[in-house]
Parts: sequence; C-alpha cells; structure tokens
Amino acid sequence: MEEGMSSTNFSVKPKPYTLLKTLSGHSKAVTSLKFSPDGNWLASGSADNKIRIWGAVDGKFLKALEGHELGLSEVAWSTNSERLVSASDDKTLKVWDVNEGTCLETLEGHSDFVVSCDFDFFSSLVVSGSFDQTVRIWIEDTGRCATVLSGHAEPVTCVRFNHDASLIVSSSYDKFCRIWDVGTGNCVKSLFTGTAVSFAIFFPTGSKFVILTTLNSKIRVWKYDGGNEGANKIIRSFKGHKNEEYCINVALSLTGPKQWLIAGSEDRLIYLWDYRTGKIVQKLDGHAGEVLSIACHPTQNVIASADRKDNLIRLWRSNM
Amino acid sequence: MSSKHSTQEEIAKQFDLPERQSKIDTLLREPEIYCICRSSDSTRFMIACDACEEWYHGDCVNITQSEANNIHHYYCQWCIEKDPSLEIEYKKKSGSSGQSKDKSQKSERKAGRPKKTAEKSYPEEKVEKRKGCGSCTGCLNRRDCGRCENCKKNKKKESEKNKKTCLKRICIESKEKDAIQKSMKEEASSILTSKVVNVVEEDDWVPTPPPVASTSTKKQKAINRKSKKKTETKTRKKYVVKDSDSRSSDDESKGEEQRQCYWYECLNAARSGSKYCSDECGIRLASDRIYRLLPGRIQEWSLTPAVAEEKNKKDLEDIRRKQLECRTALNELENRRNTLDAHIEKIQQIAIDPDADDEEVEEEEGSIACVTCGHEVAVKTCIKHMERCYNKYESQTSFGSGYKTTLEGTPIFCDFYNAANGTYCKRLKVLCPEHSKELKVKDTTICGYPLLQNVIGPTKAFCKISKKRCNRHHCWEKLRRAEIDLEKVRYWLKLDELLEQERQCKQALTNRAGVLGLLLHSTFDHELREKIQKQMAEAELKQKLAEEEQMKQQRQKQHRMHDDMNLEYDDFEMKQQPSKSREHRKAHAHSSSSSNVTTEEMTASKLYKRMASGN
Repeated sequence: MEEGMSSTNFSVKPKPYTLLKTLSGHSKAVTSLKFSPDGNWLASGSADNKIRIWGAVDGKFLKALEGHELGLSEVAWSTNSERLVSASDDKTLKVWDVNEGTCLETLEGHSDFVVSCDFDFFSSLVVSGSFDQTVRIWIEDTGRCATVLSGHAEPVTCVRFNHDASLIVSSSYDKFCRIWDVGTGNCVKSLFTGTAVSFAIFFPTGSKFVILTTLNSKIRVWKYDGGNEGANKIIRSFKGHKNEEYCINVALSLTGPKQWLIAGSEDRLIYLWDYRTGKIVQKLDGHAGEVLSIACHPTQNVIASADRKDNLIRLWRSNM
Repeated sequence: MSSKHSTQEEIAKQFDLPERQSKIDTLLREPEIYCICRSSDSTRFMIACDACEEWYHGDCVNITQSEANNIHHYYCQWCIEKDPSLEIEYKKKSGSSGQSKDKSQKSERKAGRPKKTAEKSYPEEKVEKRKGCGSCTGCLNRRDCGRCENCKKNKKKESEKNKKTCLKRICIESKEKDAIQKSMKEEASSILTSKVVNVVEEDDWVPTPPPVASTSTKKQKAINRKSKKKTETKTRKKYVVKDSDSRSSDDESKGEEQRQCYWYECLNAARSGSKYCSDECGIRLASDRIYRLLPGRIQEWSLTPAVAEEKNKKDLEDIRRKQLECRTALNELENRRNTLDAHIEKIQQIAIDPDADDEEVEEEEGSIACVTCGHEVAVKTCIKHMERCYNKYESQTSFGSGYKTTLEGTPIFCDFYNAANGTYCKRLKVLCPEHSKELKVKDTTICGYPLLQNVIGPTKAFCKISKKRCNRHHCWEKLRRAEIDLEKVRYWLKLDELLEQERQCKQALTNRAGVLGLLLHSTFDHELREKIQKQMAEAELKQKLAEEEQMKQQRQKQHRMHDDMNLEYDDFEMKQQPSKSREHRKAHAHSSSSSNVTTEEMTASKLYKRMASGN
C-alpha cells in the first residue's frame, strides 16, 4: 500500500487531500511551518537552529537562514512577505530579510526560551511569548522592547495579534487564555479553562472569536465579545484527536468551498473538521511521529505538515 | 435611607487614611514610564538623577552598573545643561566610617529599581555563581525543581554551607567530564596493575559507533575552549599519551580515541579533530558523494518547473522593459532641453522693437505679501521680489552630500565643493542660488517667453517686452530648465530602483539550485511518481498487447502455411464439395488481425480434422 493515501473516513462530501510532496533537508525535527501571505513560500523553523524557505507549491528548496544558536520554536511572516521573525531557545528573536537572507535585528530581553512570536498586520510590531511567563511587544524598526505584559503564572505558550493589531491573545500553561490591549498593555479579558492552554489564535476576520487548544485533546472556540460580560463563553468544541503533551498548532483553511479546521495530533494523523458542524471530515495518514505543526496555504488548497520524528515536511493538496 | 448613607460615609471616613489613599493612588495609576525612551521597562539596570528625580536606564545614559557603584551623586546631562554648577560626584575611597555608610546606602538607592505595586514584579533571582557551560538543559534551568533528592535535603538544612545543587541543574558537560576523569583514573590504576598489553594491529579496527565518539570529543573540545585552565589541557594531553600506549575495548569513556578514516577504502587512522586521515581522503569522499548524489538530484529538480524561477524570469523581463521606458523618457527630455536652448538663442538675436513696448503691458493694482519674507509687495514687481527674496534666504543654507555626481551627459547637480563641510552642493545647477550668479541682462534682449493661448495652448508668439522690464516672466528660462532637470532626476532615481530590483532578481536566479542546496535537500513529488507509475503500467500493457499481436501474427502465418497445404488437398475435395466452404475458408485465411483467435483455431482444428479425415 502506498504511503500517503488518505483513509476513507467521509461523513460529509469528501475533500480528498492527497500527498503531494515530501520535502527533506532539515537535520532535526521541524517545529513550525508558515506559508507566506503572498502564497509563494513556505518557511520552516526547526530544532537544528535554521530556517529553511521552500517554494510553496512546487516544494523546491530556496535558502536557509542561519544565525540562531539554539533551536527555533516559531517563525512568522510579515504581511508583505519580505520579513520573517523567529523565536528561539537562545532567548532571542531575530528579524530576517528573506530576499537577502540576512538577519536585520536581534531582539533581546527575554530571560528564558522564547516559544512564540507574531508580526502585526502593519509589520511594525512584534509580539513574543516566553517561558519566563511574560509577553513582550517590540518595535520592529528599532528593535527595542516597548512593553512587557506580565500576568501569567506559568510559561506562555502562544501569542497572536488580531487582524487590526489592537489586541493580543496569549495562552499559557497556567490554564488561562488572556486578551490584552496593545495600546495600554492591560489584560481586557481572561478565560479560565480547566487545563493548560497550548495554543490560541484569533479568528482571521473581524469576528470576536478565539480558537484555543487545551492539553486535554480539545479545541475550543471562545467568543469573547467586547460588549456583554455574559458573552464570555465557549461556543464550540472539536474533539476526536489526541493532544496531551505537545503544543500542536491549529490552522484554518478558508480557501475551499467550506471552512475547515485542521490540526495535528499525537496519534500521527492530521484531522480535518468542518468548522460549522464540528464533525471530522478527513484524517490524513502518512506521518511517522506526532504531527506537531500544520500550515494552510492562503489561496490554494494546500496543507503543509511536519512531525516530531522524521525531519520531513509533507505537502498535501486537494483538487476541489 | 439618608441616615444609612451618612453612617456609611462616616464608616468610610474612618478608613480614609493617608496611607490608604496613597495605595489607592498607586493602584489606579497608569504604569509608570521612565527614562528618555519613555518605556515602562524596569527590568534593566536604572539610575536616578538627584535633580529631576527621573529614573534612567543605564544603557540609555551610558552608565554601567559598576560605574554607578562609584557614584555619590548623579545628575543627568539635561539637568547639567540647565544648571552648569551641577557635577556628578564620585565616591572617595578614603572616608570616615559614618560617611561611608551613608554613601553606600545612597548609592544603593540610586542604583536600585523603582518600586512598582501596580504590576506583578518579576521575581528577582539570586545571582549564583555556578560553573557551567551555559547552554545545556541543566544550566538553563533557572530554579531548583524542589522535588529531587537534593532539593528535599536542602529544605531540611538551614545553613548555606553544605547545600547540594538540584539534580536538574547540574551542568551536563561537567558531569560527563567528571565521569571521564573518574574512568581515566580507574583505567590508569588498572593499567598499572595488569600486565597484559594489547597490541592492536591496523586490521583489527574496533568499529566505534561514530556519534558517541564524536560527541564526546566535541564536548571535550567545548569544555577546553570555554575553560582556559591549563590543567585541563594537560589532562587532555595525558589522555592522548595513554591512548597510544593502551588500547582497550572500553572506548566510550576516553577523551581522544582513534578511529578509522571515513573514506571507504582507507585503513589509516583519522587525524585528530577530523574524520579523515589526510586531505586527499576527504576530497575523494566528497567527490564520490557528489558523483553519486548530484545527477539524481539535478534530475529531480528538473522534473517539475520551479515556480519561483519562472516568476523571476518574468520579473526580469518586466524590469528591463521599464528600464527601457525610463531611458526613452530621458532622451525625450534631452530633446526638450535642446529645443529650449535653441529657442533662447534665437530670441537673443532678435532686437527690441521700442514701439511695441508700452502697448502690451497690463498693469495690475494692489499689493501682496511675499511668501518668503512676509513683507508687502506691489503686485507689479512681486515676482521679481519673491525670486530675489527666495534666493537670498536659500543661499544662506547648504544642501549637499559627500559624493560627487557621476552621471554622463550635461551636469544636473551643482556639485560645488564646499571645503568647510567637505560636501558637494546637490542643488540643481540651473537653480542653485548659492553658487551661480545671475547673468547680466543686456538692455536689448527681449523677454522671449512663449506666450500661451488660454493658459495651456502654446502659440508661436512670444513676449516681446524688454527682459529687464518684463514683470510677468522673470527668470522664465531658468525655471524651464529646472523643470526639465527635475524630471530627469526623477527618472534617474527610478532607474536606480529598477537596477536594484534587477540585481536582486539576478542574484536569486544564480543562487537557486546550488550544489550545496541540492545535496542537502530533496523534494519528492508523489503526484509525479504516481503519474510515472501509471505511464509505466500503461507502457507495460502496451508491450504485452504488442507481444500478443506478434504471437497472433505468427500463428496466422503458420495457419496460412497449413492452409496452403490444405488447399492443395482440398482441390481434390473441392471437386466434390460445394465452393462455399472453400471461399469461407479462404475468407478466414485472408482476414488478418480483426479475426478472432478462437475462430481461427476452430478453422485450423477443422482443417486439421479434415486433413486427418482426408488421409
């Protein structure tokens, strides 16, 4: 049986993702995958201290960015697809110029592993979350830290801007998911979940939802709604996969006719849910270890995934 | 109700203490911002100015923590500017005990950190002196875990003396080093006691697993690099000496053990710090690797077109086209300049017609404020005034850069060298008020401004008033030239940008699919593989079909031969039997590939039967 054939687990109309390419080249596990907003490149950050840039659709290797001293946890693109910011275990973040392949800035200030980073929409601010329990906002031009947001009692696992860079969501092992205001630095909303929160993103358009994953194998959608206090609730849950140890990220695919929520899992499969109904649509098989990172192409129906054991990146495509 | 309120207020007043009020204030207050950078970051070292009571970051005002320890009174540079009598006072080394106490207290206060009650303060950690590499998981653990044996023991102990380090915080590097040293000592003692000496020949290579060996040597090197103690290098040399004397099977715990050169056919020992015995072996292995892997990788690369490559090529074409456009525009501007010059020359040769002067002048009444100096100026002479006024003010400032312009063609920039600044003036040459003098206008030259019809449409007529007298068209040729030059500058800038983009594109094209990139990375295309497999399967099917057809044709030939033989026999029989069957048989014999095998077989069997029956 050829590896990579999708298992037939169709409940709704099938969206058959099939294995398109396998990219090899990293010498250690890949921890983070991101497609560039213009849809041309895929950036992969890995534990071997390097970022590799590949063509998004043809999968051909373009260049490697070196400079970090310890492994990377996350990479993020700027909106014009010319800059990357990377968060590393050597307590720094680096901003790279992708065309030249050079490091523009090194952002120092954290006192422990930096595990998450994000650019804002205007690419002037960088937010980073670290094991030292703080979230820092940096000004990208000068490389200086503008604010330190403290409030979490355990390592921060994920930080993200919202679509107009007015809010930041941060998740942490202290079972809280917090929303901060960028201008004042205050925490405006908190959600207490029963277990450690490993990942949180804003819903891409303006609607006031946060998608967060908790380490009890659940993905939840939290409606935080600025106005009413009573609207601070969970409106949907996605289950079926296994996520109890690692911080596995989640991606939304908005390119197909329907909206899919895609997440990796510790049972070596990639799960696809229908966002509206919450049902599993497909499970992709082919990885040899726990699938740690997932990325969705912004315009085409292409998914990239990487796992913990073999140092390969797989690209999947759907022909719908 | 009111009574309730009043009692409540009274109760509240009881708690209205000044301390409580200040606490409320600090809670409500916005997070403090400090220093000239106006950030709320108070985690870095900060120092306070005694004059303005403002806290500054050490690196914002260039004061290190060690310097600050010596400072008695610190004043920031802005306070010093305002009040020159203030000076930063340093501590004196010799002083009475009482004074020194005060000074130390004050310096502590200054070099400390502003208190914050509103935000949670980051727990400050004790600066512990620990030996360690700083980059392994043990060193990176900042706090004691509290759960391991040593931490539990430490809890019980109160004195600081014999506290053991948390097990999770022991530096892994030093652990290994200690282990190595211990094992070396044991070996040394064992060597002395034992009398058996292992003579190892070169063929008897004990294949040491490369990763273990390499990591231990790497760590050794890391330790040696970081700690520059002589003792460690001495022990390292000791290891080497002992190794050459004794070779045991216990290779893992040694420092520098020898292994085989990595090139397949080589049996020599690898030299220290390398995988190979010599340069040649290394080069041989590298070239073998390239010959083996590179052609396959290149083929893999060329299987599908690289999207980025196509894009770059298209971009390059785009850029070249735009560059061409810029250059044609520049040429056009040159032409315009030339026509303008020709026009001016022509005009200079025409003399004034003194009669026609007064008719054309239309006087305007009123006064207007000059844009530059603000004085009231008569409308008649306002343009001249404004022009002169502007030049006067502009000539007082310099505008230049350190580099001379290197453009071909007529000089655009003034490029006047200013010795004081070491700069070249970068104003337009035709317009620079600082470095160009106004040419003296002869009385006889006319203005020559090409008059416009309805503000926009050019006519062949031009202003014939004497240049000196013409109030409307003052310095018009200078301004026209300046317009043209300004456009030229724009196009040159655009060309610059396009050149930069072209350079980037070319760089990307050349750097793509480099040898190193191809050797290290590979992209396996599953879709393509499936396609190719399908094609191969189809090809196989075709082959099979072709083979089958060949078989058929061979059989047909055989049958024909048999048929021919039978026909001879049948000729005898035909005389008796009807002709139909013969024709039928002929039709069968002559029909080619469209006929079924089965029918042929049947006819053949029939023929064979007939032959048998005929005989």
